[in-house]
Amino acid sequence: MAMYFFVAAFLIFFLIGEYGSWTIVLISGAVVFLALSVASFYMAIVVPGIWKLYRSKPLELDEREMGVILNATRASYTIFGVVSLVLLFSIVLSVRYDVLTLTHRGHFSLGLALVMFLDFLIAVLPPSIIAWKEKIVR
Amino acid sequence: MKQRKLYNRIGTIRRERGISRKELAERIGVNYQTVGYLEREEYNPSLDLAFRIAEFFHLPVDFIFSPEPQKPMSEELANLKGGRNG
Repeated sequence: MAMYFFVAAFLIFFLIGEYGSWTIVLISGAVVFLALSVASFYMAIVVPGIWKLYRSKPLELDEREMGVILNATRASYTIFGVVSLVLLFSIVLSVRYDVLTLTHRGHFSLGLALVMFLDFLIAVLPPSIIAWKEKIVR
Repeated sequence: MKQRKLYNRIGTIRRERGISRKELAERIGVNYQTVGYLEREEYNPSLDLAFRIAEFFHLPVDFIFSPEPQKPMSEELANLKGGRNG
């Protein structure tokens, strides 16, 4: 959890520096939080062996570890899907967008169409893969 | 469906036989942390793993695992002996 706080703090310092002007406080803040992000990642993920566990091939894992990775991947997929969609919608809507008619200068936006397609894909892809692979007997 | 808790004697038998968690893990083909989860009854093994554990200890599966809290091993062994004598 601390790692995400440090990454967010680094991004805030970085963006303020990039969009404003870099000062010694902003540079040192960004460097310190970047170092803390790397250190916390190393201490929380690499040292306890979680990184090695996650990067292992399925044949090198036992049944409990496979279950742990499956649950982590499912949760990550959901979080990543929601965060990506929120970010993409924000980007699309920030381009002088008419929210009520969902058009851009009177035309349906390609960007919005892509976001909607992604939304569809995120919801439908996992059950589709199951449908392709499972033998369903009725 | 929520999985029901399975009770086991892995920790007791392992300690009684002087085997380390790491050694047991190597012999049954799991990570040593998984042995810890099994001993704390925080993870229900698959049927295959349950049989591997039983084969390693040369004991019946239902002596090691049970869906109900298990009696101490000494008490159960005394009951078995009593049953044979009587």
